[in-house]
Amino acid sequence: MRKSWMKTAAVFLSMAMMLGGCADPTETETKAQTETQAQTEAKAQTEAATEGESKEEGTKTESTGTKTVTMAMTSAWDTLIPFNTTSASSDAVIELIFDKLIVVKADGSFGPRLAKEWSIDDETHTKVTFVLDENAKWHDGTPVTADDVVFTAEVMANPDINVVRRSKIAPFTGMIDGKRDESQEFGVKKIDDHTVEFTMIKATPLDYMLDIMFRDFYVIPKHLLKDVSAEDMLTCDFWKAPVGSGPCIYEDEIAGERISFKANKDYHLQTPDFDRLVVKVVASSNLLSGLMNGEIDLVAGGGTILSNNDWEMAGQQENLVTESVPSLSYTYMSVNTKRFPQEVRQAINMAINRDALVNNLMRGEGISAPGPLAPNHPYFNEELLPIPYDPETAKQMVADSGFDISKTYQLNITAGSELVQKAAPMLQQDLAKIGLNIEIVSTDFATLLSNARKGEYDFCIISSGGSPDPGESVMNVTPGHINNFSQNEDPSLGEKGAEGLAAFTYEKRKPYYDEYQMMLREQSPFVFLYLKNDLVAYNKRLSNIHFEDFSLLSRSVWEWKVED
Amino acid sequence: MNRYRYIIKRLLTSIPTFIGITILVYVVASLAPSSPLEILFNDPMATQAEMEEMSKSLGLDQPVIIQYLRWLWQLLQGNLGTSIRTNGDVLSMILGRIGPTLVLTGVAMLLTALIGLPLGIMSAYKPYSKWDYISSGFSFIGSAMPNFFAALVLIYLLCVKVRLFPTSGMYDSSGEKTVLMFIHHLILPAVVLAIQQIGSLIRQCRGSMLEVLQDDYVRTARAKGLTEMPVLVFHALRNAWIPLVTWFGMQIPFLIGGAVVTEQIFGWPGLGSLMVQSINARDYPVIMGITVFIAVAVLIGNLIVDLVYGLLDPRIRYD
Repeated sequence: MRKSWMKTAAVFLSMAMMLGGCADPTETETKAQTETQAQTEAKAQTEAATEGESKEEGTKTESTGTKTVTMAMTSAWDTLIPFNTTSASSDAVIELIFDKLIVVKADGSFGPRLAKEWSIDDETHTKVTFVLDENAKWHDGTPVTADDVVFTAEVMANPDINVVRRSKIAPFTGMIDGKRDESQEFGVKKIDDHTVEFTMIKATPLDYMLDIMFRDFYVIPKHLLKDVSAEDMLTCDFWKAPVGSGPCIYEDEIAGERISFKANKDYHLQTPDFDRLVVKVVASSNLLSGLMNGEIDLVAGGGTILSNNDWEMAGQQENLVTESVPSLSYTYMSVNTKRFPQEVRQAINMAINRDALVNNLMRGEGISAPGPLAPNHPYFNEELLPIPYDPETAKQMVADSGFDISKTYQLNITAGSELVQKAAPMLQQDLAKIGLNIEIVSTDFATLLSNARKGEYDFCIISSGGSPDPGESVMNVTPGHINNFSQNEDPSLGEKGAEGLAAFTYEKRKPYYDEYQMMLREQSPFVFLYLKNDLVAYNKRLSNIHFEDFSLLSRSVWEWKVED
Repeated sequence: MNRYRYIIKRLLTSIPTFIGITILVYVVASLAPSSPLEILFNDPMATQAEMEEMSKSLGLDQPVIIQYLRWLWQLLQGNLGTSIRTNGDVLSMILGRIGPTLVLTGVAMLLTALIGLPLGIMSAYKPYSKWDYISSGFSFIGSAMPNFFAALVLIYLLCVKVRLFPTSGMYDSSGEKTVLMFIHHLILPAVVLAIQQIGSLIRQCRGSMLEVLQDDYVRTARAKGLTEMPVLVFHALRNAWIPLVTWFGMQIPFLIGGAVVTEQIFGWPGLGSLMVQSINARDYPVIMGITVFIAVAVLIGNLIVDLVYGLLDPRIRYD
């Protein structure tokens, strides 16, 4: 009887493993079977290289064990196809596998990645040249060349492939209205094996191109994908176990739970100081407990940060280091300009008690937003005074404007954003003081974004990741653009931003953006609220982590120091 | 023979029900504000022209009825389509997630049955006794406590304070994947899921047993000199099974659809969390794929439940 019970238990456990644990080994097995020959060879070569190194560092490995770092994200990645996502959580894992040409830093500078040098021609300001690092190699050992960069651009421009990030390739010659025009020469060409040139349709500042266009331009391997047809490009087996040139080599994944990497010990910039990196999906409510009991080593930043309460408690833990990292990301209340005249928008701007938002909600871990740029941004206009909090004057302005205050207006917010959900009632109270009745409507982000784009709303709260480039917000106030959330019909802001894009040095661009910031304040299509610091925590065994760059898709994992 | 005819008849009548479910879900999903492209093109540089181009290419510019018929035609060919969000094959995505869900919900159901049934029976057998008060108390607490609250309390106590269990995922980060590691990660989410189910099952079981225990045939059985155990198991419980089987039948959508909240909190990569991600991204092919699985499971589950009724009570006829 006992034996049969044990047999039943054993069968049950085996079935459980097959069904559950399983998702992964089975998946990996299937992947292994469907890998292309080139990928198999790539893996074999990489494994051989790693084994060789393990033998060399055998003592170290035996005495210290494998150094594994676990990074937590609150959302799972959607895809590993670099040009087919705009999701920050997908980028967080993609940038580990694939290299971009450059690294964008929060202080406005740029670092080398696949390219070691870059420049723009001084005469026409239309040709950006990148010189690739000769030491860069794909994970299978094949050198990365200019052919790979050109191939990537060609794939992104191919009209037969559904490419989400095609806008990143749209500014180059050979493209018309975001589509490839075969009658023209393509603006991305190889100069020599390690030099590639991008020719733009119109002159543009180099910083803007690097910040906005090249920030997420990931290079894919031509030698492994050149024979894949356009029809199969998004669904081919390559993406199930991609081979990149980045600091981490794809190991395996459990869809929606984790993705594991081996360190690329042959990485051209620096050998990572860890052996394995695991990116895990962890609910925001579990971040602190995971950090406290050592299951996770750091939070992924960007969208994955701690709440104020969790961050304060993390600061009391012996095994954790906490940081409050100033961010370029800003939050604003978009006002539908078709429903609210300028004088009412200006009044609303004055009615918001930003200090209360920063001090009470964020406990001082942020600043009130004077505009889209923080006061420490290189392009911030020093003459832009803080927005006064003056509900009395604001109320009078609304009364003088004759605006209909008998109606109830809706404030749309995203469900699930804890800070915004707490901020909304405070904004409701502020607006009530100037006579505006506000109903808070909570929806999912997809609905909010759709309504904002169509202009079917009164007020909505939106956050933007910000950028070191001052032109980042211009699209959002340019008539006709898809992200013109405020439905602004006055072209002057867009024109001023365009003037800033026609100047090519910091000194020449700054006056335009100074004026742009003043005009933005005057016209008030957006009520800028706050710039919240990223509250992060990580295990004490990690150091040299630059969290300030995380939201710019630059985690620079090869620079991390990891103690045994 | 009747039984086979009944099964065939039920399966045939399930076809229009199934198609009705898919039409309803497709229409409701399409009526929801926003589209898959809004989230896909959530980039400052995205343009309207790009979105329109992609919409055309994916057939999202077509009327809902055309989109639905296209999807149905694919389904009839055994193809659930490709995810708009991930570019992955929908069937593979679902098969990758259904295993973890079945294990988690299956273990939770097993725990529920192992704990809930004895407590419910004992509670009915000796009403208003100490046992009854304990199990009723447990039942009320279990039914009333939301899953997320139980999860957070248990994580704090058993993961952070005592460090007995991991907080999330299916395996640790070591790279090894062993049975023990899997079970270690499974226990807490399964217990959290079971707590609420147990509460509900105790109430259900107690109610049915109390009713049956007062019937004449139970008194007759006792009068014949049978001991309490055979009376309970072979006479009372057999008739009390019918409402219990109904209860278990009602749990089938939960068994397949997964426990969304519990999966999210414990980072368990099941079908529930895939459904939430897909709804948030308006990924229609995946939403419909999961709907197909749940609908088929419910229809077949209901049929099995009806057949079990007949086995438990021969008076039930398949006419």
